[in-house]
Amino acid sequence: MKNNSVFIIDDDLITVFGLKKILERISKEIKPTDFCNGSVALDAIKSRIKDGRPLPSLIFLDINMPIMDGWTFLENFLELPITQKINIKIITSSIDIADRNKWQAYAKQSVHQIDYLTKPIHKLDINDLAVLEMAS
Amino acid sequence: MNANPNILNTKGSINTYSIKSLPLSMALINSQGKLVEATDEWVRYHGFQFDNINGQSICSLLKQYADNDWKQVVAEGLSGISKQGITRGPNNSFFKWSFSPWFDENQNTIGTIHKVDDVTQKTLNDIKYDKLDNLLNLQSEISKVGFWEFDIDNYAISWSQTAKEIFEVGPEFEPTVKNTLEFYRNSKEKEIVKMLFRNSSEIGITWHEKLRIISAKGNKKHLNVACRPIYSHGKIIKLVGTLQDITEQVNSKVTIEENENLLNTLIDSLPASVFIKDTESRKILVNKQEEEFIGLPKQEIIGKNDFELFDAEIAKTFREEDLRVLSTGVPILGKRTITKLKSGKELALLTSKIPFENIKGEIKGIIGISLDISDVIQKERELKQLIQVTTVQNNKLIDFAHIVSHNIRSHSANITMLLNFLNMEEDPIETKNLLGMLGESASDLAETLEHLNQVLVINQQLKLDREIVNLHDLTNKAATHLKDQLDLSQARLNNQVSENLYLKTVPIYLENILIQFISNAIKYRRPNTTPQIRVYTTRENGKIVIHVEDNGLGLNLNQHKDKLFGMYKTFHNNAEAKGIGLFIARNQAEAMGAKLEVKSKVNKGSTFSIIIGHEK
Repeated sequence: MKNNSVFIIDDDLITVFGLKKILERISKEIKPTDFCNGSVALDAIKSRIKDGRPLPSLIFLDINMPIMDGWTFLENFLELPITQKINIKIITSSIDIADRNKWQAYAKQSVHQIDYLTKPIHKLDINDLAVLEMAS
Repeated sequence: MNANPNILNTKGSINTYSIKSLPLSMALINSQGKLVEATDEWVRYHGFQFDNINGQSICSLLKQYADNDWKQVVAEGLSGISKQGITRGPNNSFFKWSFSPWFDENQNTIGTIHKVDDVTQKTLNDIKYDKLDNLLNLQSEISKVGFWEFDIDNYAISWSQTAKEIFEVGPEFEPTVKNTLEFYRNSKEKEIVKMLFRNSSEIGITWHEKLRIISAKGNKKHLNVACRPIYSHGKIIKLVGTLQDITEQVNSKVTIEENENLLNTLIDSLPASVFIKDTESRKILVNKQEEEFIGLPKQEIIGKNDFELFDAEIAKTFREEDLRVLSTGVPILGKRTITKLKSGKELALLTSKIPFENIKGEIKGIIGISLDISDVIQKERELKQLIQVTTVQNNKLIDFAHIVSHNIRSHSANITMLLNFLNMEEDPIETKNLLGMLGESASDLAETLEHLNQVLVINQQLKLDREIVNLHDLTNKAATHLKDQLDLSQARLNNQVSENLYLKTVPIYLENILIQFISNAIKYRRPNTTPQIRVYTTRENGKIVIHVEDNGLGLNLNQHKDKLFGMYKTFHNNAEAKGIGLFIARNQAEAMGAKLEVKSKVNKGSTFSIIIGHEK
């Protein structure tokens, strides 16, 4: 069974638009779902686990968001009982070294693959999306 | 009692008569050495019984005085040689005895006349005199006291042996008035000596004086010279006196004084308060700095305890320290104490208290060294404040860098991304769409820059115009700004601030902060609940705190407290939330030295507070 589910968690509509556009260019098969903060995304994941529906293979995660920011989301997410390996790509405009260090700390301790991408994002390589099962 | 017939008979022709009652102590001894007759006094003196002594051998009678060989003496006496001597008699007495030849009319020796004189008093006097003489010589030798004598009539001067030793001249030296004067060190000294002698010899003044000489061997000496006139028939005939070499004492005194001086100078010029206290905490020594510290001259400090010198509070602390050192013997070293003086000034001291012991090892008091470090402490505080200010500034800089990094970059990244899309886009509808988003991004960027500018302006304001404002009125003014929002939400604003409360503050900032608080209370109201907003004040450590309390949504502070006053932090799904209001409010508060705080409970409400300052 193909799992092309992608989550975009970002409150910035233009970034969401851009990401969707880039993904669309790569493959029409990718169906991204967007969330305006960490909290709603977390709820969606929890309900998917509960219902036994497939989890996203790829998550684009912004850091600065209201209600629940990216770090808090990540912290909560990593505690969930998920066996499937998920690729989380942190998308940030931050050039703050502290954010980068935080990412490295999470990346090390997690079974999931966590990447760190700095805006602006013009395009994504197909390799970036290796986690997706697509007809290439 | 009869004269002895036996003896009379024995002596035959000698016409004797009884000597018994002569007021002398004597006995007649015949050529055989036997007692012929003795006077009553002789018998009494020796304590004999009259009946049995006549005819007895004189030697056996005198045998009780063992210190003479009486046989020898008597034999010599009988052979015509006079003998005499002094012997210790009965009852601690001394007697002088003699044996002189007893002649008959023809000058033939027929015996010896034994005479005894009680010389007890004289002998005792002699012994006493000898003793005194010995003592005097000894004293003179030990104490180096010499004697001198000046015979006025003969204008002659004489010195004792010790006096000669003092002047370092030989025993053959003949002192004269002239050469005596020469020994005195200078003309001034010589004049003094002359004057003193004149005063004594003419008007009988007794004196003693410290004088300086140069001895015959050229040694500089200090003498203690005393003089007393001697009268004879109301006329001064002699001056007698003593000389004592006190060079050593004077020199050691000078050395001691020099040492003491050195020590005093050292203690006095130490840049610390130094004092010595006895076991009752009474000051027995203080240095200059301590005088200045207490503000009294030395003589008014010595003998007083701390309770007589300081505020009771400080004195109590000092005494407790003293007692601890005195009882344990453990010194206090470099202890820091900060005490508030009556004058309101703070006194910071770095104190060491060291017990001092006498030869027996008993603690006899405390040596104290105390450094006034009030200035240092003040500087330390200023430094801490400076560090605090610097830290705040630094945090703001970090914040700012953060804001620039996050917010400006996110907009510029979007613009770059959109431009990139636009370059590749051929579809005119999509192009239009992209251009629209580009415009949006550009205006977002402009808005962010505007906000940053506002914050910069607040932080750059070095001198703020502070005014005295009535807090009640200011609250009303803030409410007026929000009239439309209040009316629309049907919120009830209750201004409970006292009408008499005045504050010196930056009115525009405080007003804006209140506007922020109140508008947040309206924005984050609970649906279907009439917003109740209460503004009131409390005091915290003397500072006025203004509170704006609402019954709104509230928020989870555990999650958000750190971010609450940050830029572009929003916590509710509220379209109006921009995350800039509280950030600007915080900057304004910090610029005036105030602080913002918040208490909140989800679905109960929040209280935003500003700790502002003292009442005016």
